[in-house]
Amino acid sequence: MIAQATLEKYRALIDRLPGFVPPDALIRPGLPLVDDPEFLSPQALPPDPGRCAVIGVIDHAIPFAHRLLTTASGHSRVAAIWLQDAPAQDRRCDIAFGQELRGHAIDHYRLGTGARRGEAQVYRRFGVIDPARRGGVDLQRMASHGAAVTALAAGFAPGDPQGLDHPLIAVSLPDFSVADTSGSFSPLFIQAAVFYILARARALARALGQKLPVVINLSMGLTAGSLDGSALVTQLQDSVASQPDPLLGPVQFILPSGNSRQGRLRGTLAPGGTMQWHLPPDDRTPSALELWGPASPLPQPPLRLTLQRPGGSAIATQFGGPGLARLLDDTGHEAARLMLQTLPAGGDHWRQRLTLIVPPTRPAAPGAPTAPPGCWRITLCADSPGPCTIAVQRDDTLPGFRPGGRQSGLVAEGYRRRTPDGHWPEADPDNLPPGATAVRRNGTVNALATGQTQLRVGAAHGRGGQGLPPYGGLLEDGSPGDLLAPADRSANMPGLLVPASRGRALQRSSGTSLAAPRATRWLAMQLAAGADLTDRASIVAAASAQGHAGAPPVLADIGPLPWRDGL
Amino acid sequence: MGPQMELTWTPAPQHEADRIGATGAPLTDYMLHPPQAPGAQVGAPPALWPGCAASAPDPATEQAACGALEALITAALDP
Repeated sequence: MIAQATLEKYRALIDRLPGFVPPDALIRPGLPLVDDPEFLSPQALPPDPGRCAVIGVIDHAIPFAHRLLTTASGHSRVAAIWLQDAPAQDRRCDIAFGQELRGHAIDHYRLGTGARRGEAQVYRRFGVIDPARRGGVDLQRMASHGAAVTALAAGFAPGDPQGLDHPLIAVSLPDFSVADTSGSFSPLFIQAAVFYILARARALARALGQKLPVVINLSMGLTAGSLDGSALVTQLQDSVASQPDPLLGPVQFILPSGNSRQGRLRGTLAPGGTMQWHLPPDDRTPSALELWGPASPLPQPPLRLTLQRPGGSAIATQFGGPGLARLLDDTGHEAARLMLQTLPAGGDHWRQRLTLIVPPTRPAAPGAPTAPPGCWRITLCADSPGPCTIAVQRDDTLPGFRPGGRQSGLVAEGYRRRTPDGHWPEADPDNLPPGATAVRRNGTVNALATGQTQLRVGAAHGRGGQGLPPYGGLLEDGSPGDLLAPADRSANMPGLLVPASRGRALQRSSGTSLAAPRATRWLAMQLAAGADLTDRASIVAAASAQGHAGAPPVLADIGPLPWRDGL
Repeated sequence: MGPQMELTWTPAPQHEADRIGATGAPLTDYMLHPPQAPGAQVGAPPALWPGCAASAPDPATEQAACGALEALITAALDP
C-alpha cells in the first residue's frame, strides 16, 4: 500500500523521466535482456551464512570498485549495486533506469584477463567516469559523500575475514535527485532504492539458503515536514522494520539526526505572532516554507496568514478551505505560490499544512519570475488556528555540485546564535513556553528520520564523545538522537579522515552523515554475531550494555577501522 | 529597493489543486510546473536538469518504468 502510494504520488515524475534521467540511462528495448542469479564470486561468499549480516547503503557516487570493498584476492564484496543514472548496458525486468552491477560481473572485468585492472578502468568500463557525460559529482572526483559513508559502514581491509560476513548491497542515487536538496524528487528514488536492497537481499538469502539480517544506511536528510512519521519514506521504513520477512532476519534503517540545529529552519508561530523569512541573494532554486497547524478533528477553520515581501505591502491569505493560489505582482509575475492541504494526523485528527513557495532570487533566464532577496514578514492571524510549527525546507548546494540553492532561514526576536559565554546552544531552554513564537532548536531532527523504528544517530566530538558539535539536529525532546558516534575530532578541529573515492586517498569530512554509518557497521557486526536486536530500544540497550557510555550511548570504539580516521 | 509592488491574491483553477491532491507534494509540483514568465508559451515543459531536454510526458517511458518499479516492489515485498 505504501509502495503503491509512492508510485501514485510521484507518477508525474515517472511520467517525465526523460527530462531527468540522462538519455543513455533510459532502458531501451534493444538492450540485451539479463536474468542473472549470481551475486558474488565464490572467493567473496560468506564462509558461514549463519554469521552474516547484509549492509545496505543508499548514497551518491559510491565507489563500488574501492579496495576496502574487496577480498584479499581482489574479488568484490559488492553483492549488487544499482547505479541509478549510469548508462544502461542491459535490461532487467525490475530495473527502471540506470544500470545494475553484481560482484561477479565486476570481478569478471577486473580480474578476468589475469592482470588486475585498476579502479579507474573499472569505472570507465561501466560508464561512471566519462567526461563527455553531463556534470555533477561522479567518480571522477576524489571527494565523495558516498565513498565516506560506504567505507565507514562496510569498508574492511581486503585481508580482514570479517568483511566476508558483510556483503554490500548499494544504491547510488542519481545526480539530479541529490543536487535538489529540497527533496522534491529524491523520495521516489530513495523508495526505489529500499525496494531494490530488499529484493536483492531476499535473492541473496535464497541463494545462500539462510535468513539474513539487513542494516540499511541512509545518510540523507530534509528539514521541513510534520515530524510525525507520516512521510512515505518514513512509513515504508517503519513498515519494513516492524513486519518480519520470511526470507530475511531483522531489517533496520539507520539515519543521521541531521545537521541543521543552528540553521534557523524550524520554529513556532502563535496566533498574532510574526516571524521573518530571510531569502538570500543569488539563490538559483525556489525556496519553500511550511506551516503546520495543530492536530484536531474536522472541521477546522483555514490557517490564515498575512504576508509582506521585502519592500512590498501586506496581503492576507484568503483560503476558504484546501486549495492552491498565487500571489501575482503588478507586472503579472508569480511572486509566490501557496497551497493549503489537510492531512491525516492519526485517529480522527487532521493537520493543516500551508506551503509557501517563492521563485529563485536569481532568475534562471531573463524575464523569468524572481523573488527579491530580503525578509518576508509572516504573521499568523490572531483568529487563525494555532500555534503552528513553521519549517523551512532545505535548499543548499552540496559540495562538488554547480551552484544552485542557497539556504533561507527564519529571523525572530529574541533568538541568540550563541550563549552569553560564546558557546553554541544545545536544546531549547526549559523556560521557552511550548506555544510561544520562537525559532527553536528542539525538533531540528532530519525530517526523514521521524519514524517509530529508525535509529537516529547524532554526532559527537572525538573518540570519547566529549560534547556535541553545534550542527547536530535534535529530536523534539531535545535529545541528539538514539545513538551518537564521533564525526569530529574536537570542537576546534571539525571533521574526521575518511576514504575518498580511489586508492588509499583520504578526505576530511564532517556531519551526522558520518555518524550514522558507524552505527550501521556496529549493528551489522552485532547481528552477524547473533545478537537478538529487533527494535530501537533493544539496540540502544545493547550499546549501553557493551559499555558505550553516555545517554544516548556514544559508539566511540567499535573496533579498528582500516585507515587512520584522525580522531 | 525598487518601488513598492502590490500583490494580488489569485486562486488557481481547481484542476491545478487536484493535480497535487490532498496529500501531494506542492514543491514537487512547483518544480514540474514552475511559474511562467508573462507571455510565455502556456504549458511549455520546463528543463528539469541541465543536459536533459525539456520533455513532455512520454507514455512509453512511463509505462516501462512503472512496470519495472512494480516488479521491483513485488520482488521486495511479496511474501
